[in-house]
Amino acid sequence: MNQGDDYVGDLLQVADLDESERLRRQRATVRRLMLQLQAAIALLPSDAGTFWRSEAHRAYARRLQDLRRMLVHANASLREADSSIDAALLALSCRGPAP
Amino acid sequence: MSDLILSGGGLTSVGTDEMLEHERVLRRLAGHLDEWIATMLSPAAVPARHSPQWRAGDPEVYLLWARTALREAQQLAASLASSLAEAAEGYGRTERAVQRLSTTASAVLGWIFGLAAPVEIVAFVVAVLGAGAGFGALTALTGSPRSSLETLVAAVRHSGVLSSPLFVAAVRGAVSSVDDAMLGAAWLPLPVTLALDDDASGWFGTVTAAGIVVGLAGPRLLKETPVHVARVASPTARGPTGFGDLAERIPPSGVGKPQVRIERYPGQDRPRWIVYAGGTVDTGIRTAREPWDDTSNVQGIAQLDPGSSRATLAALREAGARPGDPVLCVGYSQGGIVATDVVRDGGFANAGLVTFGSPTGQMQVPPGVPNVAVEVTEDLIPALGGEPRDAAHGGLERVLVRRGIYDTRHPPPSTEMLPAHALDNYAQTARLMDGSSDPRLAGMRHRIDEFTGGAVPEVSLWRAERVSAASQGAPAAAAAAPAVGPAAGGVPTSWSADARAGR
Repeated sequence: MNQGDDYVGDLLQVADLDESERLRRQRATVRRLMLQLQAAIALLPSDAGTFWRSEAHRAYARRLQDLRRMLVHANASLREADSSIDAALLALSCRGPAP
Repeated sequence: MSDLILSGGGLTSVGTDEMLEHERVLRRLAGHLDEWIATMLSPAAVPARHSPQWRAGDPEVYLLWARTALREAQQLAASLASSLAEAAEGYGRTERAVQRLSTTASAVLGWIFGLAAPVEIVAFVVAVLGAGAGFGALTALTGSPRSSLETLVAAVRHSGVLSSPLFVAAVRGAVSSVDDAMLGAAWLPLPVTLALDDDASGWFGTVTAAGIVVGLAGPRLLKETPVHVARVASPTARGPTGFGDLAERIPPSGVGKPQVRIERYPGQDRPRWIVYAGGTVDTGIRTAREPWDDTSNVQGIAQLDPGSSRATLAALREAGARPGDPVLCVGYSQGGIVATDVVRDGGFANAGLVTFGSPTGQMQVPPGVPNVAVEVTEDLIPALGGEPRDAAHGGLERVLVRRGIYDTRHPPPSTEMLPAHALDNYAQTARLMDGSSDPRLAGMRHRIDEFTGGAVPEVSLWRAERVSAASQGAPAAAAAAPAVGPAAGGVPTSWSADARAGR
């Protein structure tokens, strides 16, 4: 089975789920990604090091800061997604089970 | 991370440990980001609803933002990692080009120097006469020749010239061009000299030149003698776990002290051994009692039969090591020459070679032996071995770790002649190597761990002494074992042949 078959299989499986189960799975995935991303940000070099003293080194330092900002932005977006899923789950539970 | 500069180990790149670490972190991050983007594209993360159904505040909108940021971050991380790798490759290319240029320039200068030898002899005599007159004037001021000499030595110490990387590089070039100077003095044309040079042909280089120096030094200077070796202590200690432990276990150099440490680790079929050899004790070129002298240094660089190497092989055999036993060899300064000789001539299963501050750049090491050399940039002693072997002659197999220890804020201390060569500097560098995540150093640390197996070794310390023709059989510290005679420069004995074969 190739990757495309896996994807279609997953899609069918997810389509079978009810809304709250789908959201809970989505939240678990998002939270796992957040943890991994936070660990990656912590491992990123905190500065550009001392191995050069040149324009290239300063450019590298700037690009490293850009990279950190992108990761922090991605992490913030995931946090928003997590809150949004929480809100959707809360709304679902307030509505109660479908008649 | 640290200010170590790493090269070799099969790689053509050269970079600081810190720079190479950044490259590894960024490459790993790019790989992870790729995986995470794939996860975010999976139905479990973005299921069911299609974009026309999304409203502001829906999780899908935020997930799309996160995915876009991660995609950009992935491309940037991959690009930065590639740029760092290219920089390290560029550094390596430049360094090799500079080395080639410097080697050729040294060879040409050496040849000219050799060619002009008759003129230089006159210039040398004039210079000696001038220096003598200057020394006389200084003696008139200081009151005694001894005080004058001390004043001169103090002036050299204070200038720090012997610890200048430029001076070290000049000495390295000069040593490498000794062979070319000899060929120039023999009036060989320059093209023939360059063709015969070891860098081109492997025929005539620092090793051969050192052999000629031994031959020309007369019947007494730089000539080998038999050596006696005896166990003098058996301390207990745990096994080493990294480079720092290896450096700390090297016997410190001192008159009358043991020069060799041997550790025996139990094995299923065969025992495993780590042998540590210390640095030069006696700087005289006329042999006395001490085998760790300059005779052994020059004999070692000439790859002849230094007494210190014979003594170490004899100590290993006395300790119980047999041909085929796995041996890890460690050496500092002259001990590095000894360790290389044990690897080359010992007949053991070589588990690795680690040298600290040793003039072994030109010495042959069998291919496939894990080989780590550590050099402090301001240390003159490794430069005495000449330019290291180039890539075409196996130079890339050796992992070379370099570290500069002095700068304008931390000048060399003026209390010592060669402060950069201190074993403490190498022990400190070795501890920094233990903190490095470079795969070449991490691989060697893993190899050391596997080699010792965490076992407590049987440790023995060995003291060797030379046996002069006049005093055969009466050395003070080593009456227990028969003398191990040289195979070159003396009468070969059955012991010397045994020692060289590792039997």
